[in-house]
Amino acid sequence: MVLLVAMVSGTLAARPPHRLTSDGRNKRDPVYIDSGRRIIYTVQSDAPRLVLMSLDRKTQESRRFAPQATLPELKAVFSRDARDGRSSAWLRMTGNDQVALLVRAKPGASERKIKTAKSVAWSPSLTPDGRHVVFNLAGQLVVHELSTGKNRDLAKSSGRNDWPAVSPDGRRVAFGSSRSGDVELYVVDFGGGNLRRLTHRKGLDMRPAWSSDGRRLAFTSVRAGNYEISVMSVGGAVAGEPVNVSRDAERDDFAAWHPGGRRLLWVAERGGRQDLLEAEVPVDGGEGKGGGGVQRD
Amino acid sequence: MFEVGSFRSHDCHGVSRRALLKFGAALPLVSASGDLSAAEPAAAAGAARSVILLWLWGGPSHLDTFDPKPDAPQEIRGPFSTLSTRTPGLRVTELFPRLAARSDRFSIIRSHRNHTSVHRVAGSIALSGGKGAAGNSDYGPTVGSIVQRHRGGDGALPQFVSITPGPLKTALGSVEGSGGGRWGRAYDPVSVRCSDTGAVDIPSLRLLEGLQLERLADRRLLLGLLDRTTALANDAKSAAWSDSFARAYRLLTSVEGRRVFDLTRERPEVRGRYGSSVFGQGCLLARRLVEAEVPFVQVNWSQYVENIYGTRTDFGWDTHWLNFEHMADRHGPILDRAVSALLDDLADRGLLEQTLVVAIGEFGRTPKISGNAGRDHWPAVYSSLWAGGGVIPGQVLGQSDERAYAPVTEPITPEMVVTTILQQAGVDTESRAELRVFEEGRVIDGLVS
Repeated sequence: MVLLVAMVSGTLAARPPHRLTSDGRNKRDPVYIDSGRRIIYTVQSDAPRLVLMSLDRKTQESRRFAPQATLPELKAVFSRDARDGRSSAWLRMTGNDQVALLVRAKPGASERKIKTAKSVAWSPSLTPDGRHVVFNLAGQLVVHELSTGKNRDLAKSSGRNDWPAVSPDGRRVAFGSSRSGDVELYVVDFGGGNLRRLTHRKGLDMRPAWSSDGRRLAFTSVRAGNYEISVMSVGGAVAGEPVNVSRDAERDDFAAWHPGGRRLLWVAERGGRQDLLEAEVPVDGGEGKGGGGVQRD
Repeated sequence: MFEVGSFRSHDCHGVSRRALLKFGAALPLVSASGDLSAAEPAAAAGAARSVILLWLWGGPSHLDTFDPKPDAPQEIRGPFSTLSTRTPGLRVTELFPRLAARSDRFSIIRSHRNHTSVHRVAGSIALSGGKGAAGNSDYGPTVGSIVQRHRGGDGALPQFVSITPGPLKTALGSVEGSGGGRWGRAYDPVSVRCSDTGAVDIPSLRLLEGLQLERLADRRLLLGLLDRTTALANDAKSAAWSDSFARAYRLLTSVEGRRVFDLTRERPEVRGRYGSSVFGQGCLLARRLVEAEVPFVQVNWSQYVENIYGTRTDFGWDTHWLNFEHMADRHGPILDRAVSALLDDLADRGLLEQTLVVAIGEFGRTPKISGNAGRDHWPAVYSSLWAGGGVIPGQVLGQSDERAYAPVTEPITPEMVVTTILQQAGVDTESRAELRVFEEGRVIDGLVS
């Protein structure tokens, strides 16, 4: 065990996290697309206040993802990691307490606004086949079928449910919930059954993100007020112990997996400046083996 | 680098908007005589040489900040855990770890009460300390305007600076009680914009765009400009604007003015401590201003109360929707970092004892979480943070009931807040009587030494 820890720690030390942006402005919700060749993320701007950016991973150049947008846009999500045929969804701040959830069935198609009884949908996640979008509406999860426009509740409970993340196979949804008092991570079948609690720790556990093989979740865990990125295994019958992979006194938030499953991307605040950070994560990260130079949390 | 017109100081990436005037070290200074002359300001008599008012516009939730109720039912306490602090009896939500770790530098009041739940009215009352003479209009001067008049300085730097994304507004219109009020706009603050990258902009100097540097230094030209402006709209409003313009001009054409507004003079690590946010960099600019002995600096969290407002979105504290999302995503972390950095920075420079720092909004938010998973307006009780300037730190003053619906101790009114700030800023009973403001005002018991 000692040897394993030393080996993987050595690997991490040789490859420190790589900073992908340098403007330092507030960022959120990065996600890989095009097999990891591009990253879409939201950044603070002057006008509009939030804009979606597209970062070319190879050239490290960022440009507006939707340069024609005049209203604040954020949280772009995609149905699958492929150049063609993917659906996308994003949020647009349209007015006073008005947020529109918009979906585009495929690149170039017209955008479609998802109608809801209330005007602020949040945290959308698309199913891999692009047929459904799951989101938080007034603190509860809603599954919206795009072809029929029908909504159904998912894992409704007391407290708040947020940050739904549909698994890569479309069969499960991970999310955060305060149903137990504290905000913990849960997973539920897409149909609504088989609810399982994944975390049992004081402090916020939120924003779960699935690895492409569906075996691990990266998420934000707030411990003693510090935002960190943790990884845990969810492949077996029992979830693994979360391990802290960011380990910094400043804020780490909004994790996303590279499609290859070995790299994590997140928004890291360092010296008060927020940039995208990418780091390799040991294959056993979150498997409960204690390796990887990661810190048990 | 420092530029004027559509001017901004360079941020740390060298980004600069087009500007028509560039100040250099050789810029001639304005004459020390006449309307634009400098004079020594009156000495401050109170414990606070300066005041920094951190205006949390929109009304922060007291439960999700400094008055959590972890034992209340879930529909009241919300999803956040709490942290212990260095102050006995004080817990804050988990969004404020930095403040929790330095609670011995400030005190919290948990029993504020305002008179109304309407933003524009409550904001006017909170800033001016009282209701308007004609209902919801004709407000008295705000606390900053009173301090400005009391100090009466006419030096290079203004006496009252508002660091703000723009004039305070709501979706329904402008806020009447945010400046000189019935004293007139001559007592309005000099408004300054500060971006998240530290770029500084003084909107009232837009008139100068297009002038050549040598002509800007020509005082006769400036006075002519002012005369022309007044003639264009010969009313009190334009005259007051001219006065504001003159103060802003005086500020920029002085060496000290150029220096104090240039955030690139700060080390990157110092700028970083405040965070890359409009509010954080505004707090840093506030520290520079009080270091330069500006008596009153107001840092507005946002221009609009609204949290989300289309093109005007600038994330005010009015979280009817997405209260918990925005608290965790931006409001909590930004406030925690910026205020902590400000308190540390002031203390490290030996300025905290002589600088009163107050963080407060116009009201709190409903204890019971709404059907929209947000919190609505709640003037019946709310919280504030006070530090420096004679404040006894490490205390919790006042108490709300077990579900944060109402104070169980004597309510702290806006009148008491303003009176206390004035007292600490040297506007004592006698001075208030001379100015005919808050002659019967009460200082908050137990807050200051």
